[in-house]
Amino acid sequence: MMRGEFLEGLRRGLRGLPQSEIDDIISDYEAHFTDAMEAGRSEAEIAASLGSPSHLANELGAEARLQRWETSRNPHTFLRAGAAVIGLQAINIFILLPVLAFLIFCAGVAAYVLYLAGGTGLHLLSGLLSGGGNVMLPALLGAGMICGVVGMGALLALLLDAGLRQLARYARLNYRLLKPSDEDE
Amino acid sequence: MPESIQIQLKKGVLEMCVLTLLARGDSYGYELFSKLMAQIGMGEGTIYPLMRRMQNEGLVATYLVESTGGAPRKYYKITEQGRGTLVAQRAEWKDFRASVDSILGEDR
Repeated sequence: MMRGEFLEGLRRGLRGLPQSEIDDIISDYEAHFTDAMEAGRSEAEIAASLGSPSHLANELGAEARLQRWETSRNPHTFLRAGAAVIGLQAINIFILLPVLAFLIFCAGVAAYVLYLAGGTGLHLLSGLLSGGGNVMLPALLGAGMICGVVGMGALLALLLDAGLRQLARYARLNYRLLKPSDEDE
Repeated sequence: MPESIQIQLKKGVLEMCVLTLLARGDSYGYELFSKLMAQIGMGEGTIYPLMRRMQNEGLVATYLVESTGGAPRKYYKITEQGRGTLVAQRAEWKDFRASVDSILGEDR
């Protein structure tokens, strides 16, 4: 593989990141090629030693998305960062899959329970508007249930947040920091 | 595939080595790579993901220097936070090394 081919592969793998970030990463590797060639090495040797551009792009992309999530925590950045980290080869999919399936199952059950409780709460609370009979007790009960749902929802979000943080730590420890040939030993 | 103990050890100390080099003076990607490469056998393309992460964590900062006839060169410098981290990591490393040495020494 030659310089142009390597950089093109890297650029392709980074698609989806902001253009300024892609340009910044590409310029790092361009400078690396320039410096290495000045030191008397051949393009092909440098490219081979750099390893797979798509693999590098995965790690760089995951790092960029993790950083975005860490500076602005919202569901959108959470999903992007989570997907990028799960896409890393460093995360062993056979260990991760059962864990993920279990987590998704738990989140699903929790969401369903919260939905039911919230719906009942709203229904009870709406009795206050329609008037009639003894409405105070069900209305208070309804308000209580809604508060409970909001609290549980926040707790669930906190748990998901902590989960991705742990996953990020694990991924960062396992970034392929050494020579591709070393890893294959 | 199990990794050799050497690879795991290198991964663990890489950040500390980069911070140590930068504490001695600002440097750029290829120079950092060639110094680390010579001394501990560091992967070629991977210095950049590492530097980006360290930059994100506030351990290093970057600045551009105009170069003659080429694109401006990106230099890395250690931050105050980076110096603090380096001190902590060196202390941890010394403790760890002393413990391992004392265990290994029992065979003698």
